[in-house]
Amino acid sequence: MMTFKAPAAVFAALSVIALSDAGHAGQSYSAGASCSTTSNGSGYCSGSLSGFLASADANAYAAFWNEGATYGVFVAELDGNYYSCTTTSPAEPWFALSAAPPTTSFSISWTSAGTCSVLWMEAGSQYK
Amino acid sequence: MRAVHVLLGVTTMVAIAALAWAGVEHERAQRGRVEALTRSLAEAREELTALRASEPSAPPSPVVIRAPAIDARVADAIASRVLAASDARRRGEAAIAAESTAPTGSQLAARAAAERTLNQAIARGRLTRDEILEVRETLADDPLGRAEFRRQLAVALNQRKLVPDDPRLLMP
Repeated sequence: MMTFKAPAAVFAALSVIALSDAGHAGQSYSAGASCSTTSNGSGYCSGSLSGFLASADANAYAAFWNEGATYGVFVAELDGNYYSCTTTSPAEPWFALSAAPPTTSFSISWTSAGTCSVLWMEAGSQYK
Repeated sequence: MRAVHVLLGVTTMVAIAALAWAGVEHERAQRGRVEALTRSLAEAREELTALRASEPSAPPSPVVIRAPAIDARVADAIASRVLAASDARRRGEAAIAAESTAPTGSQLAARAAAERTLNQAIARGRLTRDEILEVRETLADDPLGRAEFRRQLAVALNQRKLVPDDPRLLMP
């Protein structure tokens, strides 16, 4: 009887391991980092803070900061170019991004006058 | 004598019978009242049960406190005072807002100096760390001036008119 118990235990352990591995399946990717401007200076940046950190550009970064509830600044560097916009009415995502994980996906655009126009953010399990 | 005795006996019997009848009638009337009261109570209980069933969470009736009526002239006087106070407060707030948004002479001078620094940086195509720190100091007490400078700097950066010497220090 003892001879049958050991293989059964091994089989059970392997089954548990296999099931555990299956539980980690799912999408996982970085929101990345990208910025673009038009000739008049309007443009956008999108990606995630961790995406900028993982960029091939050693100087790349992106930052949102605010002074109180009525003023905010976005700055970014990517591939040697600088991007920035300011706002006197930061949208809610502006403050949410400060508390969100750096993997949170965002997209911000601005006008030719340097005013932030649209800020969109998305928190998702797939972003790493 | 015998006739008198008979008459007395008959009268006594009639009186006893009358008293007995009156007692029975009184008891019957009492029983009727008790039954009527019992029926009323039962009906009231049924109505209460039905009411609770139809409105299980009906809130209690609000208590309305009515202010005593006041004379129309007094009401007009109070209203005009309230309007006058409100108008005065509005004028006061507007004056304070205008005063707080209007830059002082020193703020105007600081903004002009910061703008010169930015134009010089644009002419060179570079913004040095010292220039950023200088502007930060110049506009330290002028949040609106600082905001406007940052917006102009953002435009210059987006249009590739300049790059900062130190990527870690971009905004004053």
